[in-house]
Amino acid sequence: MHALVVDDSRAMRRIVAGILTTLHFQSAEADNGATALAELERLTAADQIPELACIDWNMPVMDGLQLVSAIRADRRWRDITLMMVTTESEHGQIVRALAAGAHEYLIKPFTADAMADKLRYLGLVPAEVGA
Amino acid sequence: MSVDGEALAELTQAVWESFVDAEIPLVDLYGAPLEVGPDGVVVGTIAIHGPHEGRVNVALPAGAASAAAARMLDIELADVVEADVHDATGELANMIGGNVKAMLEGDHRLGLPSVTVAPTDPYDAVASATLLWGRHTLLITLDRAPGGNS
Repeated sequence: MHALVVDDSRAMRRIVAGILTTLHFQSAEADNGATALAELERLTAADQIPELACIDWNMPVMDGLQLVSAIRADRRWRDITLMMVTTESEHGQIVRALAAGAHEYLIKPFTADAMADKLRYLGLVPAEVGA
Repeated sequence: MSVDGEALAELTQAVWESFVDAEIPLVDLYGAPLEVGPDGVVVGTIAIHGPHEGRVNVALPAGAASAAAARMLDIELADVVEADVHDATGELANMIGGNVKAMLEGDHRLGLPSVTVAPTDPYDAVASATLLWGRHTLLITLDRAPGGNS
């Protein structure tokens, strides 16, 4: 399984990618929405469209909500599961993200178990992995 | 406004346990001053805009900031460079600030984090928490911009 981790913090990208590695994902990384779109184009050209994208909300250049909308507008990427991983925890923000096309929402701070549970719920991690 | 020092302490403890150090819990020192080491202090700041105009500031001695960055990036302390400290401290401010924002009444939005290597002049602190991490103290403040509402 392939994942794309999008966060302007290198520390947070390492943390998220590290958890995904334990769940048998190979992760690519991007530091904002615009570089994420460029990385998706590269992965698409290499026939490695990720099954999952973990997306921060507050980023420079292009934020996570704009990225979700951009991915959802492109039919090539309709099978990518989008999970917001963010500090934006108000109900209204969660609704906005889901309405834009995100599938799941994980609020920082989170634990590795919480992320694994979300991915298991989404069917991206077998029940016996990371349990 | 429903954010007080106790809330700041609890939020910071949760962030710290998840991403910095799950073994040594942060201890609330209930308002003790920040102890600044010989290398100065690193401050991560994130602005909150809305009915409450202000900032969340995460201040910690430079040694503590480097140690936290090493843990968050999973690298040796000796390999930590300034960019690592800025990245990690900024993300700590972002996570704590985002959770503070959710506790404020009304609609707010976050800015992007910034990091300085000298104390940031506090506007008007409306809540603060001093926490002990091993031998380091951390100071978390929520302040209010001049003329800002609370």
